[in-house]
Amino acid sequence: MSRHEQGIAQIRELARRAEQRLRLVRVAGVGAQALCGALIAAIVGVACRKVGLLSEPAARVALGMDALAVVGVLVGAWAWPLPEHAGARTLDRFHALHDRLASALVFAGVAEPTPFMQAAIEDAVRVAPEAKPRLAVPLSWPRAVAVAGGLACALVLLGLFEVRKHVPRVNAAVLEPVDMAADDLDDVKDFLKQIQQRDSNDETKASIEEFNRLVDDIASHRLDRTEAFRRMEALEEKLATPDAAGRKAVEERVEAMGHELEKAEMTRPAGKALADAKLNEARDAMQQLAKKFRQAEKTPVDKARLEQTREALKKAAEEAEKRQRELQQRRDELADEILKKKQQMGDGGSDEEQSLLAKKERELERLDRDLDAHRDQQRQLDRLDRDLEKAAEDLMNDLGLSAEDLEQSAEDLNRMQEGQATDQQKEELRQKLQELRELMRQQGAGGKGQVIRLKRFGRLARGQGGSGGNQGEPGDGQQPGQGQGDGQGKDGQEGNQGQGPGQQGQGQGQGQQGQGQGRGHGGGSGAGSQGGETWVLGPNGEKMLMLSRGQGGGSGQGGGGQQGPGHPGTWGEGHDPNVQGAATNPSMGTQDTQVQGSDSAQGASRSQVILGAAQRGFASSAYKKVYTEYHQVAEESLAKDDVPGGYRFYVKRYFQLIRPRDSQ
Amino acid sequence: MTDSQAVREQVALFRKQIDDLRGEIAKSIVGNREVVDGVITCMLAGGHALLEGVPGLGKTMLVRTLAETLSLTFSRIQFTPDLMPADILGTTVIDETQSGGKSFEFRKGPIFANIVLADEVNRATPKTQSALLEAMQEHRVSVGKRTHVLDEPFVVLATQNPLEMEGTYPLPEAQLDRFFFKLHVPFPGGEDLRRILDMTTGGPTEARRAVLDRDAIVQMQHLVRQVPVARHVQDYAIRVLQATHPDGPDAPDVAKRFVRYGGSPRGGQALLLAAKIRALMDERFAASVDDVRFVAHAALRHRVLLNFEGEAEGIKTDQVIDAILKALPEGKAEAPRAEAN
Repeated sequence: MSRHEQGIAQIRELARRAEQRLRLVRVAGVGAQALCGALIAAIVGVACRKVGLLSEPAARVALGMDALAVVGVLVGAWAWPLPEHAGARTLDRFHALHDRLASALVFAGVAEPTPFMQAAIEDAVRVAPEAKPRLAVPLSWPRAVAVAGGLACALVLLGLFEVRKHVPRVNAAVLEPVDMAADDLDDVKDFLKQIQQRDSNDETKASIEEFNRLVDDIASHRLDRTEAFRRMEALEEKLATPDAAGRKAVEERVEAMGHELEKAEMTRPAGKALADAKLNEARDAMQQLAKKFRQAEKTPVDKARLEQTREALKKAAEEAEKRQRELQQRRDELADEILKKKQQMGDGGSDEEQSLLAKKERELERLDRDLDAHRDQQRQLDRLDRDLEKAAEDLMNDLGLSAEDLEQSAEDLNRMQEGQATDQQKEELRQKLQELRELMRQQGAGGKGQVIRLKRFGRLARGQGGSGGNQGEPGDGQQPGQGQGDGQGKDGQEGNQGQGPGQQGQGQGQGQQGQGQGRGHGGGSGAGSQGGETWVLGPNGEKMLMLSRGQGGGSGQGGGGQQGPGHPGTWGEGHDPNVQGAATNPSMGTQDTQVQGSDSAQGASRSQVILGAAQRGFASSAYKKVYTEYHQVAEESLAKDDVPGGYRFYVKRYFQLIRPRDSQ
Repeated sequence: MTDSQAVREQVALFRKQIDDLRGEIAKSIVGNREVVDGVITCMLAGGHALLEGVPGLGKTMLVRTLAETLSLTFSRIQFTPDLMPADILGTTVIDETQSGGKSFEFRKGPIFANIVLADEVNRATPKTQSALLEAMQEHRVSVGKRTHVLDEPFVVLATQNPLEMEGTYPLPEAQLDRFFFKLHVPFPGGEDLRRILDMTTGGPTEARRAVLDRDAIVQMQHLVRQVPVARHVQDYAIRVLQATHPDGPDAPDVAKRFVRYGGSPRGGQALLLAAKIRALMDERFAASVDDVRFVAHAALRHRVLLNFEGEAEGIKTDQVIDAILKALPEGKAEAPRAEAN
């Protein structure tokens, strides 16, 4: 080997060593970064394993993949080709050899180098000993190694960290109470109080008590919606009354019985009362008839009339059990049909068939309930039938016994009437319960916003700053006819109730609606609201046609029953010593007239009353009057017209919200 | 003596001659080593140089000194707007012979010299500039039906003033490309300025002698052409040249944004030739990447054309070349700048 070749070989060796170091540096840099990535992935994997998101085999596989990835990156970094003569050029740059080594290697590859090339090679060989690959390509730890070390420590710490098993904490169920407006609950309570004041049987009283407890629980926020609805459903089941058809059947039967009894002269009053569904009068008539029979024991009685009476009573008693048989027959037919259907379907059947079957089963249950209710009512009717029939049979034999039978019938009628009253109370309770449930549903659907709006409206309805109470300043009641539109106090009202209106006083009707004692304002205000043409009494008792605007609250209706000409708009004095007034002689040829209060502009119109109620609250007596009139009209319309159930509820609800409040 | 030894001696002689030339020039020109080397490089490469600088920086003095030290003919053309091509190239006149006859005779213009100083070349009309630039490219002059070949070496050193641009005719891009180098003549530093003042305000300056004759210069030009370039150095020069184009593969963002057109192949030739000369000046036998980086500014700054946005933003072509060299770090350190802007 020539010296020239030896020089080239030396340069090549230097370049190779430099390239190896370059590869090592690259492997270290890329490998450290890959190691960081792998460690991060390992930390995530171990963390997932610790918290149970990753199974043990999966975690091991993930760690193995990380390690393989690092090895792959290292191998790739080492094997990836370097630029041509990268080692020699690195040496040239580091030692400022101006590409002598790299150029020499290039020129050495030329087949026929020029003298300049040979000179360049010799020049490179001359400077080659100065080149130091170790200095040109220093091996240093890349910065990423520190990061990788930190990550490795974190991984070790994470591996030592014991994660406790996650046990989900059991949270106590929080009751979300039903929130209803206080006004609604107060309204229900008032209603229950009114129902309670009536005569009720023990069952109804128990239902009212339970209803009261339900309302109290709702008001105290002790019930959530589910529990509240459950209790309402239970209560409604208790309050369930016979259906309308059943009631109607009973009424028809009693009416038919009454018609039969009407045919006999002796039992005609009782029969007429029964036909008119006036059980009270029927009871009284029965008792009267029994009394007559007892009196007839001492005096002879017309046999024909007795026979006629007996026939009437017997026929009236013959209609028993007809209705019950019909119901029983229908129930049996339906049960047979369901049984057949079930046998046909077996375990299968289409959804439509199963739905139809379920519907029939529900109808059967309803028929069972109706039948039970009908049996209960039937017992009462049977008892009456038996008593009437026995009375008819005994009539021919023993008048005394017949009288006892008739008294017994009267007692039966009394019980039926009580039963009807109880049913009515139950029905009212049930309706109120349905209203309450509808309120809860609506508040649940409308959310808190609706509750807030209702509460705000309730506050307005109660009046602001006690203005309603101020209007209710008690009148002293000493001056007759002091009522001036609104502004009547509770005392005035009580006085009114206590004294009663002066009824039809003094023939000419003066002071028709005035107060006997002049205490309180009385109802004169109501008359004043009528407008149009009105005949009034003039100063000399002459009739006068008055055209009025219908304003004013009817002040000046006082005067009680004082005789003498009444001047519209004037105040009466004293009181009629004969409070009731003398009985009107129907033969005196009176002519009906009406006293019209003058428009003193001291009262408020209806619109003013309503507007005042909206501004000051619903606690004025004038508003109460206006409300009563409007409410009555609305109720009548609801009763007469065919109003959908939903609208019916809203109308009732509206009047509940604007109902008058008690003045403070 | 082997061929390589002969080459080494030639290169050593080359180095010696260059050092002698530098020494003689330094007697009159203080500092501006890069500008002097640039002018010498242009002469050795057979190219021309465009010197740009404000008045009074010694551009004309440099050229004159160079001509004196080289024993070459020298002519100076002061370009003015009314300068005509014939004023540069020469004209045909009617000459009366001794026998009484008359004949047409071509009177050579100032272009017929080895070193031509085209002072304030941008003040002449394009027509006159074109006449000069044709001679620069072809090294010959056509007048009438006759073509006159210019003597070698032929070097045009043009100057232009970046100030007072009113009434000037900036050189078109095609003509700028004819210049091998564009050299910025910077304002001298404090030490150089003191030496200039001492030298020019005192007694008479030392006389300059000619250190190179015409044959030596031609030999040196031939030697330059023999310097080999390794493949990776040539690749680097190509990459640099391509990077000056906005759509080049290695073009930096500034080039993509502000450059309208990059360097021509003449730019690549200038890069490698200048790199070879620099290697010889450094007594090396092959050009290196560092040499390419070193001459890149002078060889490319007038060949990179900025677009409207670059002109509006006040971008200098040197900034573009800096970005290119930064994007192509194939050297140990940042190449020293030939001269400051």
